[in-house]
Amino acid sequence: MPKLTIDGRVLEFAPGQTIIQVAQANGIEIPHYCYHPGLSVAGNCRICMVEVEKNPKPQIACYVPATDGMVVHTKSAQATEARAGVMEMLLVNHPLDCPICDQAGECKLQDYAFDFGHPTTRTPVEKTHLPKNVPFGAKIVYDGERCIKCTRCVRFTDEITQTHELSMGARGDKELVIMTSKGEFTTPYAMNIIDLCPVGALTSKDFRFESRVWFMDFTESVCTGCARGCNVTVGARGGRVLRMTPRENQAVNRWWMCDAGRLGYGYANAPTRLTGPRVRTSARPGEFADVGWEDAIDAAVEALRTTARGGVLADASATLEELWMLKAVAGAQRGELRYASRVGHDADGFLIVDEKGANQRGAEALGFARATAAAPAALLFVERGDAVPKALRDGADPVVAFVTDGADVPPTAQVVFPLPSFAERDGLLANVDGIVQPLRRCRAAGPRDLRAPLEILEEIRLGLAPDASPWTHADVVTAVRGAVAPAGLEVPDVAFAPAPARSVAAPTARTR
Amino acid sequence: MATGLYPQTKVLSKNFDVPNAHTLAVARPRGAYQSLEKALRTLTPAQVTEEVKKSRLRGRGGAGFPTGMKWSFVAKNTGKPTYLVMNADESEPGAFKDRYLMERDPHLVLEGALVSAYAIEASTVYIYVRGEYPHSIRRLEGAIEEARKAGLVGKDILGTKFSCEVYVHPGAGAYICGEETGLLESLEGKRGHPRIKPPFPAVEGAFRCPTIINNVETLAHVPWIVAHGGEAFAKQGLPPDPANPRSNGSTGTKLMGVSGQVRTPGLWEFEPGITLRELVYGYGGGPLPGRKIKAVIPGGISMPVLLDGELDVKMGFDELVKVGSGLGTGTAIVMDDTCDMVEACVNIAHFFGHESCGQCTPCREGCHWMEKVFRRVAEGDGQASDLDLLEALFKGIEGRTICFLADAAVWPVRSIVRKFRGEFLAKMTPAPTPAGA
Amino acid sequence: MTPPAIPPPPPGSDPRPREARDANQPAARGTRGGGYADAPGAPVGVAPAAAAPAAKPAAAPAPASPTDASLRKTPAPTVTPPVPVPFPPDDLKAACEALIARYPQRVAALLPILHLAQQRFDGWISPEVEAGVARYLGVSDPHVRGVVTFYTMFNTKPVGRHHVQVCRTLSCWLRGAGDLTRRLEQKTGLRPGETDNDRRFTVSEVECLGLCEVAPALFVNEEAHVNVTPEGLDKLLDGLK
Repeated sequence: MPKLTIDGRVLEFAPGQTIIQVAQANGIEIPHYCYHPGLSVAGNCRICMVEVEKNPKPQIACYVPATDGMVVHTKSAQATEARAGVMEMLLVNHPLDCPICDQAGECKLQDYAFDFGHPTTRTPVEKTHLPKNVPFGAKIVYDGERCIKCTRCVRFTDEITQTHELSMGARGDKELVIMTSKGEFTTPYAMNIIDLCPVGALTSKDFRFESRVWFMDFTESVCTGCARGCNVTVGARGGRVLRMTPRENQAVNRWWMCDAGRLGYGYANAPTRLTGPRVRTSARPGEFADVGWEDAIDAAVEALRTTARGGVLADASATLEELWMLKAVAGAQRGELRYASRVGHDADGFLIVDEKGANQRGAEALGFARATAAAPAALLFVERGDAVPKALRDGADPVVAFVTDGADVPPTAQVVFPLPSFAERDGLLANVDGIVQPLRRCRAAGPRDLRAPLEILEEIRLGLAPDASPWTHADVVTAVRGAVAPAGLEVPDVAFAPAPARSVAAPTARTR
Repeated sequence: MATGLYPQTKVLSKNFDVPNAHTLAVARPRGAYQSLEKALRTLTPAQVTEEVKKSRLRGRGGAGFPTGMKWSFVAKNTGKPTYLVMNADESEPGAFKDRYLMERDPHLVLEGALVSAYAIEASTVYIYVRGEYPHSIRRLEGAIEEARKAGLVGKDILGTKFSCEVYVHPGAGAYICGEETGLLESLEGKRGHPRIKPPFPAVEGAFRCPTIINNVETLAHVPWIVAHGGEAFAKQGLPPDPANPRSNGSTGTKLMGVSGQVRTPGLWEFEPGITLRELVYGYGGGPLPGRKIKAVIPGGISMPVLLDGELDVKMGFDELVKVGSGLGTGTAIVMDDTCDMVEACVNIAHFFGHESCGQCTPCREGCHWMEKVFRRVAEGDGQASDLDLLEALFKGIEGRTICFLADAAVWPVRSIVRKFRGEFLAKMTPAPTPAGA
Repeated sequence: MTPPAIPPPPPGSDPRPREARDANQPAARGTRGGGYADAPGAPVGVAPAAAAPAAKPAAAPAPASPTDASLRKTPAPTVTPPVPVPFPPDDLKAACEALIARYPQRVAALLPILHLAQQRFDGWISPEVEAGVARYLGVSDPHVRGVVTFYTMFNTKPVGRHHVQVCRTLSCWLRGAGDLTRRLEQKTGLRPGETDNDRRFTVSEVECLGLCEVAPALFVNEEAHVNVTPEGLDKLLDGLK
């Protein structure tokens, strides 16, 4: 195989790879702005210039193909000086917006300027001014002064979505990104340009001025807006989810996610969410009282022990483990295992699929069938009211209900537990292609001290069968793995963070 | 003109002062299209290319690349059509030679295009004319129409199997569209952003097909080469340097002009060998009354300046490189002793800032930055450290971009800053003295 | 306005405060858990009393999906897309079709067609003309706008009947272009880039026109004027009505 040398390291490469691709594959970082592995090469930012022996001028690593015997220096005097020169050029007209710019803390201009820019400015000249705070549709804001004209966003709408809403306009140092006169994107993937933008020129209206990123907790998880399961990073702070951004996964979503999924976390922040368990206090439907966790679990055990009803109705975004536990608790009795999910009409052959149940394939693999009509069930599991419509919820007339939003509680439920949102649970979901991926709990999201449904269901299960041996989350994963294998789902080895210590000592269990 | 002057050799310009030479009726009896006939009837395309190679004809657009060699790069057997594009964008400040050719002898231009298209086996020629040359566009389109009626353009030219369409494509005001790949982008209906190379246009050019782009004047030489042979062409002008096997010399004739602060600006034609001094003082008439010549850019605006004492250099490609400048378009711009060199830098830097396409960071930000620094010095707000800043800018801009506009932006002003340092320093506020000194 | 005091929990029940029913409370009360700046005992929530109720945005229609919740912040101004001019108009149809036939791709005819469009539609390219040309050539309207704003010969604003374009580059500058620009301003009151209210004149500075040997040079519309003196300029302007 051909070899080249970068900074003294001899590296093999495949013919056709550019210098930057070989470097990245070997963990060598070459700074870059306009280069993106999912887009065509533009070669205009010039920050990736490196020294290539036998070339008097520095070469751009994003475009020059590696050749056998090539010797590249990324930190030589020539390369460092070239890079610092470009950095200075980028800053000469860049506005001093850091204090009000959302990108601060995750800005490649800041990072590279810190790493290898000039420490002081040599530029006491008036900066060139361009339009700022330009709406690019309802969800995105553009700032012409912060923009470094790398053209990533334009290439995205030309090559990936092929909807051509963007172009460069004007010329020279007045060059800027312009948008279609229609004023809105037609592509449902427009907000990916916010992630693509290396600086704060394209920002999210939704996230604007919400929080500095260094105050936030970020967790790698998956989106549950549909069965695609795009890999995401969930950003949360102070009990609220603040934003979601896509993570790269070439097998699932490449580098992208859709706007609806990106903005679909709002229900996790709804003020109407349940924050503690409740039990029904009277025969009249809809009258509940707040109780403690142990009291609620005892009430649930008692209610399930004395009921003849069985079966489960679950939101198809329930995880494999949750579905398994629901089955274990209610399955012994008469009753069907059913799931519900919304089915849309907007599948586009790219990422969006019609099936909106994030774990619909997992539910089917565990023997659940789609609910077609209202029918009673012992256990109800509803994360989103639009996935499990009111007729189905109320018609289930459940003994025990796990519900996220107070508005979705069926008035005849006997015991109600608050169901944490997608951002607050650990578990496994099987996407539309049968790829099993972990949902991960964000520390900083959701009301404090919600207990995981897996924990609650395990305590109920042990309450109903005190001689059974207890299961850990890992035990459940093992059981699930075997159960879904016949359906072609492969559960990977996955570890979840241990459950957090609870801040309030609960009254001791089982005193009643 | 005084006697004893280096003589003109009127090859390209032989019809310039002939009334109505732009019409076929006048041009044809004077020899137009005889070379086309000779090429189509007696030579193969490869033979025409061979003659052009032997002629050592170098591109007349400013870069001076050997034309025959460029033609030999055309990718063959691609299954795609080959295009010939004539670069008539002529936006280089100080350049006006192509305008003369197109306005005064469009049939020569057309014949050059047709013979060259035959040589590279292209069947479509696009003449990209800058939008600010409406007269040239009209003259060319008129010539094409006359030629079409006479069976010289279109299908089966002169009854042979060679078919070739020629279209005039107007630009719309962008110097960067004189850069080969910027031109191709503009031809394709886009913003004129130059492309990263490779691939070179000869492999993938217009509409992703093999394409040759040549300057108007370059292709206008081809009929003479076909008529008289490449070797005869190579005997004119300055021969290659025998000690350097890669030297091509400066063969044939060259349109050369002078503009700026001289008595008789104009355009003439010579075999290279005339010195810049003879051109400026002899033909250009020397300085205006009561003035002295201070600086000359030998060809266009994109070359380093030469001082009055440095003008005894022959106007050839290699000769001018040896003295730290370049032939460029061969049209000199003359500045006299009333010219403020700092203001001249403001003017030049503004031009390049205005014309930068904006793709590459160093050019987009650096050109106007240079202008701002020059302006600051010109207005009396400069400091000695600004000269160091400028040197750092020159270094950060030259050689760091997709195309050569950035380099062109650096060369003239850098030479002015270095050769006229005193003028810059004279405008500067003295640096503040340290306290207690 | 102070939020109402949270009542103490009844004995035996969960000691944590109830979820907020008051819309002025923050959406998720309780923890500011996690994150760099959060210290124990930090005050709960930051609801400004004047904030619009998050649960029921008053002005917006009922949200169809959680997405709409993000739009409660400054809504984007309503955009009325320009109505495309029917293009080509009958008197240009043949010329446009002939131009398109010259190239293997429709879009390659864009520059010559924009020249025709500019002449035809009052000397400038409006957003409506851009949209019409874009539709005709099968390209996006920002592509056309990107082209129109790249090339200096395309006007994006109405111009006067007489567009006076003075070259400012080196050779013309050396031969007195500056005097011409100043004289222009004296005579017309216009600086480069400006048009007068009667739309009689537009004044522009342009880069090298290729008339260097007869500098200083200027264009009035498509006509070149060379070796121009300030006096000659006066006469020229007087003759332009």
